[in-house]
Amino acid sequence: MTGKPRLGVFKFASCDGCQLSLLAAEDQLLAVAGAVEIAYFLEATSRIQPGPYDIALVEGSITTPHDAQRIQQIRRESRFLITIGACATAGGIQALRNWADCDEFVRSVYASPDYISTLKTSTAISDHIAVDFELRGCPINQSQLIEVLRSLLAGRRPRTPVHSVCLDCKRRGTVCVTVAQGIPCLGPVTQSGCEAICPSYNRGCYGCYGPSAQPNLVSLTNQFVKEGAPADQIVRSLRSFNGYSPEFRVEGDRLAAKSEAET
Amino acid sequence: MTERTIKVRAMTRVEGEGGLYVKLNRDVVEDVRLEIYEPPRLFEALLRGRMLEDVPDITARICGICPVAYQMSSVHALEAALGVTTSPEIRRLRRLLYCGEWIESHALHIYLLNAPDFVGFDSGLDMASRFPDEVNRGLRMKKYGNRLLEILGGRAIHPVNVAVGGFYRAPRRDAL
Repeated sequence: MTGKPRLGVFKFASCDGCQLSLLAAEDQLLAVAGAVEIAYFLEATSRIQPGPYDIALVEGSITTPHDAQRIQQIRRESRFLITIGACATAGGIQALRNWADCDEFVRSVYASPDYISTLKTSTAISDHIAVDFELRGCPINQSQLIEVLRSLLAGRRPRTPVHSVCLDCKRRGTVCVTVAQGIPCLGPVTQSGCEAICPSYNRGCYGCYGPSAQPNLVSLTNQFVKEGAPADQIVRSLRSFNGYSPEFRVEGDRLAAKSEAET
Repeated sequence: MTERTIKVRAMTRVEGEGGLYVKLNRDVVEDVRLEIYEPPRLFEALLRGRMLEDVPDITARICGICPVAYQMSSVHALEAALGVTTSPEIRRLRRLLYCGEWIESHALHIYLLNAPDFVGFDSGLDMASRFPDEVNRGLRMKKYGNRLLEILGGRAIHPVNVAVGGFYRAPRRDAL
């Protein structure tokens, strides 16, 4: 590789929050920008350069026929491709359409649905192409993003912790909201990365970093049921920002089918 | 040549995706088309059937640059529907949270998104090569906004502390 590594930042269906994390890294921004050549980053620069790219950051999920094509092109032009955030990694909140009648969704939102071109599903980038690394979170953690970029610039393979949020609550000294107050919390099955902020703000984790390594979802949802949570409410809590990740999806579908059979 | 067209395939340094087409005849604009190819995410439809507590967390995801705007509008709408009034203290704290977003988002807009067009650079980062102090001032201002969001909201992008009726937890006095 001659010269600085070329960075491309690409957006699909998303809120911009994950790529904003890069611009929000005020203290490191100029240093990071100086270590790479920003070749494609529409939110930051009007200089648009063709590939190939050494590092590609991909935000957002695939929801249109055009985007399904575009991601193939980006993969061909990129050496190390990283998905950033819950949309790119699990389909995002817009993946709720995957359980619904998408045409009805479009009709209920747009006065002239004929103008709308969209797929019936919102899917993760890895459902379409090979992904080299996934950075979790809705939004991603800025320090993790900087760390991943630093690792790549140093020629190391990036690593992020895969333990659950529970461990981070213990580290912070946050009293468990489930044990002490009976608040339902997805912390035991959700991957670390957010620094366990929700329990520290007196609320349960809502799973925005997606499933942790080997999550025991059945055990957790059994506990919720035992404590009196209605099944449909548990299903909804699993079907959110990372609802279409395989682990959350399987457990949500199992509970939904079970509750349907019972009624 | 009397007829000219301006075609921008991808507008840059904005939130969202779109293109612009302008057709001119001499000095008269004859046609303007803003082409928004940002994919629809169907929030209005996917919110149906959710618990009302989920709503501010979900609407925040409409925009990562201004999530508090969507959190505030959704909690205000829900409180109006429920006939709930909030205390002046809650109103003030919400205003402070919103000010955090305004500071952050306006500094971002001015220094990193907008100003480069006025002084002839492709990006705020390029602009920093000639105006390092000014760009750093903008970044510092942005950081203060983010700091307010973190204290009151838990994090700067998609804060977790906004609830229908108030907040999940009041900020600690020493944090403020």
